[in-house]
Amino acid sequence: MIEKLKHLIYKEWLKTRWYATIALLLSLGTVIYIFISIRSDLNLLGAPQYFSSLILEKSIFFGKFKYIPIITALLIGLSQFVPEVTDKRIKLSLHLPMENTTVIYSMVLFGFAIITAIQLISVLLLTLFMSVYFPSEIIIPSLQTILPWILGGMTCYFFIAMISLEPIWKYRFLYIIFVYFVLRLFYYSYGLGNAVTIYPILFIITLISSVSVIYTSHRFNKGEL
Amino acid sequence: MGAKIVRILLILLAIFIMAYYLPSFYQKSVEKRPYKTMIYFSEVTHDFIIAKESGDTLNRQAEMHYYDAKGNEIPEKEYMKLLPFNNTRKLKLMGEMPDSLNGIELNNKILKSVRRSILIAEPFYSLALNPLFESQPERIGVQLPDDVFRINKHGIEFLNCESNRIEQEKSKKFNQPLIEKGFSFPAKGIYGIPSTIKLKDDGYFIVDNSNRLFHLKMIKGEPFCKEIKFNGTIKNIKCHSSGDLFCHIFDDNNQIYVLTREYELHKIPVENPNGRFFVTSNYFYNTYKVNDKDKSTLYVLSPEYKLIAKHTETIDHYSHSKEAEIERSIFPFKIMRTPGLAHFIPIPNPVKDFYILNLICAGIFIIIKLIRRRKIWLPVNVADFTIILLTGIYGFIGVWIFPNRK
Amino acid sequence: MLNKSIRIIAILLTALATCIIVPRFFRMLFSTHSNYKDVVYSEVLNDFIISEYEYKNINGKISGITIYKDSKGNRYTREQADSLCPLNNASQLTYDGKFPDSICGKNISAKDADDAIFHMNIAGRYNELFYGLSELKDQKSYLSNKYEPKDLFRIKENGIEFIVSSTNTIDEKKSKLFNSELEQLGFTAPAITWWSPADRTDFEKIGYFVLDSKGELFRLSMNDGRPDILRLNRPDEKKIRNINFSNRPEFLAIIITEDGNSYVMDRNFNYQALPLPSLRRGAFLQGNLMHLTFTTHEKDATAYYILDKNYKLIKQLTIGDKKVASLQETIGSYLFPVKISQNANYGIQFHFSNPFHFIWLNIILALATFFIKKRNGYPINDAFAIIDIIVVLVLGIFGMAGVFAIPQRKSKQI
Repeated sequence: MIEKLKHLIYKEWLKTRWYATIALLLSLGTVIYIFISIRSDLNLLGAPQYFSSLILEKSIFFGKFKYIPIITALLIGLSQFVPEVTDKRIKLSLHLPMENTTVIYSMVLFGFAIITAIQLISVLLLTLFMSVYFPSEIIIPSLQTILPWILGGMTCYFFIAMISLEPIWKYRFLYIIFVYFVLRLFYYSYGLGNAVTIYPILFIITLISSVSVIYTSHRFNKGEL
Repeated sequence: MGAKIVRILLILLAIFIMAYYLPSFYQKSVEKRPYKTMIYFSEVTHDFIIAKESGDTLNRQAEMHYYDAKGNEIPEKEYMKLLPFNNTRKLKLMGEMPDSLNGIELNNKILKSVRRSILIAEPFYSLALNPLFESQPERIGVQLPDDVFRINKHGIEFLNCESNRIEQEKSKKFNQPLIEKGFSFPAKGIYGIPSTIKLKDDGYFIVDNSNRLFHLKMIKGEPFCKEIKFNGTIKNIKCHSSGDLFCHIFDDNNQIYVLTREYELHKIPVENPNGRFFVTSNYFYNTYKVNDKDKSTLYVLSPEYKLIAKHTETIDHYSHSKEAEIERSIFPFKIMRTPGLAHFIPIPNPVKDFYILNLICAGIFIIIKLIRRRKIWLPVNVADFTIILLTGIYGFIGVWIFPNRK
Repeated sequence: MLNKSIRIIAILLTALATCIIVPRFFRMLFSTHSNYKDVVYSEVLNDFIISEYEYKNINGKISGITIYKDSKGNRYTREQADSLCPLNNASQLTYDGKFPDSICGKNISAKDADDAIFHMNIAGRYNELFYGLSELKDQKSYLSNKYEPKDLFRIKENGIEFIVSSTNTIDEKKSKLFNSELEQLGFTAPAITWWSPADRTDFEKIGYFVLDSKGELFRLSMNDGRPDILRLNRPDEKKIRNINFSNRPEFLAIIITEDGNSYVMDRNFNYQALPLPSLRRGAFLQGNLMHLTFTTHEKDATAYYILDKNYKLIKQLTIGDKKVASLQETIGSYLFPVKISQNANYGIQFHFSNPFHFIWLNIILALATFFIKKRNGYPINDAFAIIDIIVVLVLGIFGMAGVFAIPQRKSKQI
């Protein structure tokens, strides 16, 4: 069982390695760019003036990171699942002597692990950079603001898996529209630190999305391909 | 089995999403601008004046009509003359601006002392860092200091913005008077005006961990700390940079108090469930207006904050319009997001409005299933039927978006 | 052949893109010191007080302080500088208790001095973002809300048209009424542009100044629904470039003509010429109780003109902008052959660095390109390969980004 999983994971890695690298470079590049622009603004405005505009306007200085989790999710999700569904190649994976749901869900978990790793590294680096210039009273609300974006990226990935495995185009189209409206909830301009009270709903939505692939891949268990 | 559970979860998520987007989409499409109703209090007649709009708002044919407190209609010019502080520019051009009122000369100083503001009881999120300005500087105006302060469980700490380090000396100096006065760390809330766009600085009003209120200022580099006795739990404080008030204080029950610059605390005899107040204050009166769904109430207070008069008018509101009735008969409930602190609030409608549509949807569901010759007594179909019966149009759309796969 | 030509164009476009983006990013890596400078005329001294930042290196830390000096170089403290310009610092001097009893022999109250201070931006050209659709308020608007305009007007080839907002149709009657009046006064449609005062009461009383297609100036207003249109004189019969309205009682507007001359217009629509150089690029005006200070920016200098309240020139000063080659600029001239900048006044400009600086890096990069191409099996002998290397030689970093970003086919497979 473990052996078969290892082979499966390796196949997924082969599919996504270049895209994962691009996503990692993009995330790290954005974080580094944010760091340099904070430094540059601190120099131009002077530190007291910069802090004052942060306190008064609660401006989001890390705004360039907003859609990076979604781009990461798109890169990895599409690179993983689009090959599976063109020419119905997923038949090959499903001929492995493992239960169908296990196969598909392992693929999803693998992608999820890669995305989480990339986001974790980026956020750790961003926190490190922020702690050079800012006290925790600014860093913690900033991280609280970033969390919905990251959850949105994960939700987006899970739904990509679900939509890719959906056979009928009419429903695919409907689900894409549905996912767009769901993701909008994660990306409202909540203001620095305001989003904390909405976490429970966002977490529930992410959890629901994480199992949503089971719904569309169910047909494989019934023998349809 | 797992897939069936996941399907139900997805349907519930779809219902949530639709309850959030569809009602507001409907409202935006059909909503008409409600008529404006304004209540004023005339400083000339010492009585209320009401302005009501009527007509067709869509074609801008709506007109304002003005009435006195007894309900008689008054002409527009009369209305402007009765409210000199609101119509100063126009009255001056007409030559009808009085030189004095109630024995007081209306010079520029009195005319410019009109203050209008909106008070909101709900606290907005704010960073726990603030700059402590010098209250008596050498140059007029307010200068941005090099540091910001925070009050955590270690006490007050001044953080140098440039170096991101704590200034130990200054922090110790300011901690001393706070500890002496019995301040209990950390602070629950720090309220003030952290901007340099004000004429002079009044420091910050700080609520400590045991709900006591303190006033903190920096005077010629030295700390000034004074406790202000307050009964109750403070929810929010809105500070004012000019006028004879330091701030408005809100307690847990949305009750407002004012703190004058002589440290006098007055309770404002205004009731308001939703915590939003429109305040106008001039030399003669302080007025507080409260709008609650379909009622607008104006409370008129003397300069010493004693209640003089109050008046309520019903105002036109979307929820009374025909469109809102239709909305209530379509949607069993809607979910709204609050501005400010992000919350999703579900708002249910009374069952008597929407049960008809629910029954119709459930009926259509059964009919379609029968036409397609499905067994309607399967547990999954029963579950779908129940969902449609409870959530009406949302459930109906939901079970078709996520169909039960054969 | 076609593929390769398209590739060259793509390379040049990529080089252009990197030329715009990379120097901007590069600039962010460096800290710059702001060069603040302000000049105030001192009526007491009959000279200028210049305040600017001076940076001192104290124990390795660079700190800036503001210094005050006059045009001869004498230094003053901040308190002395305040007292030398009492009209501009009335409130501070009153706070300190130092406001003088008389200034230049006149008895002046601090409040009058404070109230007379104003700033005004004089734009050299009219706002390009002009929709050509405006509201015409009635002069009787103060009487009642009934006079709230329900339409917007535009002035095109058919003359003036009033468009009713709620129905999006033209009010034919009103338009005809105004058009006949305009024709009588000799208005030639369409209008080039129009200006309006910023002050609310002025705007209601005066309306708009409209420039017709022949360059004639008209004042367009409405009195109780009837048109109130005047044909105005032009200053010295010149073509008007821009009009800047003020909200001061002393004058109505400052007008700039096409040749750069400026005129002040009083509230009776009479002109007086201002003794200033060309204001085509705009200026900044600060006024106090006794005089007006006009500030203009030239290519590398700033000029200050002091006029009295009768618009006669009292004094003038020109200060060259400090040009200190910073570390960032030096490194930049070695790295970047050319920089592109764009602003509203001067348009798009190309700044070429000193060729002897960037040629070294360019040579190294050209050689690197040559070797990388050879190593990876790309053709190096035909004309297009040589063009690639020349592009890198001339455009340096940008050329190299272009050459390697645009893919190229390797040597023909046999």
